[in-house]
Amino acid sequence: MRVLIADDEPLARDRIATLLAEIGGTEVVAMASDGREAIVLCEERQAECVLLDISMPVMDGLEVARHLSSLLQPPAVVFCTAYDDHALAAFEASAVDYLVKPVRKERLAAALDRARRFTGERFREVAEHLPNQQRRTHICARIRGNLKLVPVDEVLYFLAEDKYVVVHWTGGEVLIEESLRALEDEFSEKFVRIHRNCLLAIERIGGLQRVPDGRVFADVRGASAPLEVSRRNLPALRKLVREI
Amino acid sequence: MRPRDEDSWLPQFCTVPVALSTMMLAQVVLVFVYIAPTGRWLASPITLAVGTVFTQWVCVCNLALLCAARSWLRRMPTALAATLGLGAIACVSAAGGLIAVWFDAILALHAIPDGTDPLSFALSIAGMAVLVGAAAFRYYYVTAQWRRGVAANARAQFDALQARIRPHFLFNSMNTIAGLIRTRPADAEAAVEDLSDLFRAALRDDERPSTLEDEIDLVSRYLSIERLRLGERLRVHIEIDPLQPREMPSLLLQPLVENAVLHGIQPLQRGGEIRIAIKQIDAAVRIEIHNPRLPIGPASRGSGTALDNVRRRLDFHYGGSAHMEVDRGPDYYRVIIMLPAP
Repeated sequence: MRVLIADDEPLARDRIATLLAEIGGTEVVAMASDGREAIVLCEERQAECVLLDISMPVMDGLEVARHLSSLLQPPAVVFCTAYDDHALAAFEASAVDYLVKPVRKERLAAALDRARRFTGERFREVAEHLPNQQRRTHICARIRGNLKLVPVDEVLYFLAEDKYVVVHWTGGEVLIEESLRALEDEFSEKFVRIHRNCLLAIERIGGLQRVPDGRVFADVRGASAPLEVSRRNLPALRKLVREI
Repeated sequence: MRPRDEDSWLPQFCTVPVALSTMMLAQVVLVFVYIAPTGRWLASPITLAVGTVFTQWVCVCNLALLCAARSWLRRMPTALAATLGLGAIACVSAAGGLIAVWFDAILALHAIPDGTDPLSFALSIAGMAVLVGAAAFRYYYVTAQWRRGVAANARAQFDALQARIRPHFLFNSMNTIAGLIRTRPADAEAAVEDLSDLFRAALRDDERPSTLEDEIDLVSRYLSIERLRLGERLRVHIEIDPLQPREMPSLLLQPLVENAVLHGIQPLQRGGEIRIAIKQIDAAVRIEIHNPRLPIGPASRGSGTALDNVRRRLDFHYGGSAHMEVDRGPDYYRVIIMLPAP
């Protein structure tokens, strides 16, 4: 089985690798030291099982698991944590396992056995029950089957088009299959609704301007063209701009 | 910060125990006046009975007023609240006195000697009520102070318990040691020694204060364990003046350094440097802990508890003469502690 080890502590990674070698039957295809790297490497190296530390910089293990669940062939995820985390209670009865550090060899072997019997369907089911009150740090898009991670801090605005939402960010544009409504709820602290089809990053608002025909546009720092503000959202936006 | 209800020195006047004890106090004063050898007004058992009705009635009116005014009074400074409270008691009691004179005349009770000037009667009633009220206020105030002292003591003990090392740290360290044992046995041995020292300090249950030197020692033991765990992501720069030996509460610095590691260094992909500077300024000591942190991002969870804990323990041990200052910069975090001259 192709295994990926994700942990920000070098000694913790080495120890798991040593244990895996002793257990046998697995191949460590990559080691990641933060959450984002874990997702990228997992996809690139086609890992079948990810041993995932919960507390990692850039993106924590729980968010990594959420993003991994959207892969076409999600890997089996086994969480590792130093101390019982209430966030993991939901996982106890699921196909996805979790281990406490220092990990015991027998316990790790049992988790790998479970991982071999794991199917992606089950994971997606479980991932839906992951605590998601926490804001994501990255938006996950799929481009020709590959995962693309866009840091939320670099998103300029979300534009709804037909049944997709286009994410305009500093590095270009990507399509995601999420509703603008859900994005608005999740990122209400960072984004503001300026039009029925548009959420704008508050930090990127450059100013408001009225054109001769009466319509109002918002300048977006980092974008080439201003965005139209609907009559309905104008008062709230004006208030926000004054407060900045 | 708004004062919490139970912290106020003003009791809940509407509750049975407070109302009952206040009425008892008023009755005691009444009987006192009755048995006093120069008693003028309360000449007979009948007038004592009428006087009791009157006194308790005034007492209940005062209680009701204080009960209603309590939510305003408790937000005021103690002296102002007490003055206003006594003023209210004086007004209510004087009004009660005037009404009593009037009733006495209409019902021809003759409990009040004929020819008594209503105004002077009202004023002496008000005066007595204010004196009794002042005594009661003083009593409530002292009880509240005593209760607060007991609570602070319990809190300090609890805080000292809480300052003990977090379970995460124990298990992470055990994991580190498990990883080191085979490949770097000497480092594993050193880590076990450091961990033992930390837990010896944390599990110590006597009340003896620690010393500054020991505290610094614990911090460096803690950091050497974390350096093993985080590798080159954790860099440490320590600058310590030659210090005069002095006592200080135990495990006061380690939680702050642990904060710097957990909320500062650990979330940073490439890590960073923790700077600790300890300076002797005359007889006082200035301790500064500086760490970089994520420029944007969630307010670090849990760091507030450790800070509050340290702040309360400083207050408890130094009675307000130690200072803690927290500087939250855009991409750094700095805590400065000033320990007063011993």
